[in-house]
Amino acid sequence: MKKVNVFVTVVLVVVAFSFVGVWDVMATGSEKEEEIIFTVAAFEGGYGVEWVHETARLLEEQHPGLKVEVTTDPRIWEKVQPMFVAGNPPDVVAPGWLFDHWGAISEGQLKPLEDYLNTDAIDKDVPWIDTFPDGTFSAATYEGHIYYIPLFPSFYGWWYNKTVWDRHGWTPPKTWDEAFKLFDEMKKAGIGPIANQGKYPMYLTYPYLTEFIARLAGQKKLEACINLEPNSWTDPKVVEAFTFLKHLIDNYFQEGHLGMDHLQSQAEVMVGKAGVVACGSWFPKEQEQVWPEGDVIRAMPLPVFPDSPFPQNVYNKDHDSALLWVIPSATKHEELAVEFLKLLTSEKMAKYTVENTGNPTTYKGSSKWLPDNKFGRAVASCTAYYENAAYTIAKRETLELWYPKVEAALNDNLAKMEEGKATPEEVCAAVQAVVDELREDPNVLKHVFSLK
Amino acid sequence: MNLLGTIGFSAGMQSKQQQRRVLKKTRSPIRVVVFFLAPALIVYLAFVAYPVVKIFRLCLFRWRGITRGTQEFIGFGNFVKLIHDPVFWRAFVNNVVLFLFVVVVSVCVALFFAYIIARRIKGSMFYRATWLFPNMLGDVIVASIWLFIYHPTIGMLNYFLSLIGIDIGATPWLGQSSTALIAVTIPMIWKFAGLYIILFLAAIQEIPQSFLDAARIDGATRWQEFFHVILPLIRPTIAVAIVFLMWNSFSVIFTYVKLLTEGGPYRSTEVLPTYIYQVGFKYHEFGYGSAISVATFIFIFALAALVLRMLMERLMRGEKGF
Repeated sequence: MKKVNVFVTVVLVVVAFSFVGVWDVMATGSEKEEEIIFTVAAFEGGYGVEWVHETARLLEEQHPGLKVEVTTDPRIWEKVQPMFVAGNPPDVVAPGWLFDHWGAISEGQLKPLEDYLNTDAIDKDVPWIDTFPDGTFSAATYEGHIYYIPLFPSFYGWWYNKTVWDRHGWTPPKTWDEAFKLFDEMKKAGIGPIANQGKYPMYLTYPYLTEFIARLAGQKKLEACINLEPNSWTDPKVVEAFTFLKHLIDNYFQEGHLGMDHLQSQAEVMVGKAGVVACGSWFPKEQEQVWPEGDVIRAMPLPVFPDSPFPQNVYNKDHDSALLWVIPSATKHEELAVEFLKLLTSEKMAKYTVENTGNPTTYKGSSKWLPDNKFGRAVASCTAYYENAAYTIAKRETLELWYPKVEAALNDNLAKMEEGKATPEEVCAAVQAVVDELREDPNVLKHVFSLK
Repeated sequence: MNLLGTIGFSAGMQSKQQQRRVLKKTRSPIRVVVFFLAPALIVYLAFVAYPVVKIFRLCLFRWRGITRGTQEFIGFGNFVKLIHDPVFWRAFVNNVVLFLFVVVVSVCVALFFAYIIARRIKGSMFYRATWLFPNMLGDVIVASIWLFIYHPTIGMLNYFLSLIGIDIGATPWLGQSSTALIAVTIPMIWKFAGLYIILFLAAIQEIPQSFLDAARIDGATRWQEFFHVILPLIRPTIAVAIVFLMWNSFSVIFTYVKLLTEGGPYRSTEVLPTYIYQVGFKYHEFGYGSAISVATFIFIFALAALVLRMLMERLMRGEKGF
């Protein structure tokens, strides 16, 4: 009888079992006897994840025998993207801000949702889509199909420390002339007027640049810029917006702002060393650790250009790109995925999420549930002026997500302008060059976007 | 008895059973080595070698990295794009400049303090204790510490400069293109200096005392002793250190740039690793990102080969110090 090579056999068995174990761990949505496993993956960031787990619990309650496996991670796209490649993505996912949403859409990896949105909401006898504010799905739509459910809207404005302002008798300026007078007073008081996240030039585009373009050049010219039209960025009125921004940077931005990141610059306002800082409605939560005494942080809209013929009550508003909920085409449980999303965006869960995160959600009127604490009141001061907005600009959900190379060109050249190494005309020309290149590139998905 | 002796002895045996027993004895050590190497080798092949092979393949395709089967073969199209990409060349030049700066500063600082410690000059115990401390910290922690040191208004650097009469106001070291690249490199040099001090210290301590005594007897000053005796004798160690510094400059630097400047202002601190990451994960061009990775690999491989070849040539020629 041939002697069996015991050593080789042992090694092969060990290797075989280890691979079986690995595949077993990697399998998602697998169905074992009588048990359905439904998988959810979500970005974990400033909004926490308790609301994801609560929605999962509610879904399990409604389906005895169902097990919902929730995976959350600050870099969830690194886990989820290989699963898409393997053809085995989670059943429903919010894949984070570095996930290639539009690449996945163009390759048929994400399910269109408009048919489901036109069915009844889970807790009301109205179409599901009617529980969202108007315009929620503008940026999520391509060729008539809606591809994601946004959850957290971001509002923008100037944030300020009311205690410091009250001490000096300052009030929010309505026009830019009033603002310049106020800034001169701030300089005399030894306070840098405008703090800025200098290391991240994209903060110059929300709210400043896009609102300046809308207010000085009008809605159509801003749409032309977002839609990659020829000569859109080099239009004289658009250049005027850049010129105005440069004037602010050169004369009123805090000394040293170029070397500050977002936390450092925003803290300058919290401790009273700067007058205002432009940021989104995540500002209060993000600055939780350096909150000054009392209930003192408020937001205001940017001042207006009273001589401009265009609407001035236009503001940036978009949805946090880290938490855009999608249903993969390869989901094993499509109906459950839709039900999960309906639960997530129901009135009950919207209230729960707003109260727990201190941020409104995309449920219509959710701001009413903002907690009555210093964070809630701060955020409420930002959402208040949006009620009378003529329209809103979703810069981050459009330009940033659709055309990252335009975004990169804008950031690079704005940084040059900040340091005084480029003029507004040069910045606009550089961005237009990239826009023209992308417009001719057949590999880039082209969107047609309207602000209203 | 050694292996050859065992084989020779076995040649003289008559019984097949005895021959088999001897052969089994000679195969056992190899079998044991393979047994212990196998797990590490499998992990290395699966998680290092295989992805590298895939990258060499992927660089010939256009692919967004979402769907299997959508890779479009474009031959050397990504490399043609690379040649015309100004951001790539900016990152390449930044990385080479950074590498040269890191090598010069790290080697000089490490040699200086290694010499002080080896010669037991006053303060050497203090340097010995403190220089190793940063090396124990993670890269992220080091970068975070220096983020605060560089803060324009409350940072230690501007404050200390003002104390010694250099009042430069709220200089944004990380936010202006003239200083950002050097500013990003200093934390990495600070962290790894201790490691190279130990490396050079060990090399200096290996030098036979008779060499140094002979130099002293011949009237050599400390400078002459350092430049004409110690330095030539530790040249192989310096070559090894340069290869390690190459790894720092083209790989580890990613963490520092990502945390301190994100490649800004306007690409003045963009380096090859951060650009590869951006091309892959922000622009979703995995094929092009792979091409940049391959180009970087070829460059580093050539550079390392050049440094090591110079070392080997000297070894083969039996030059002094080898």
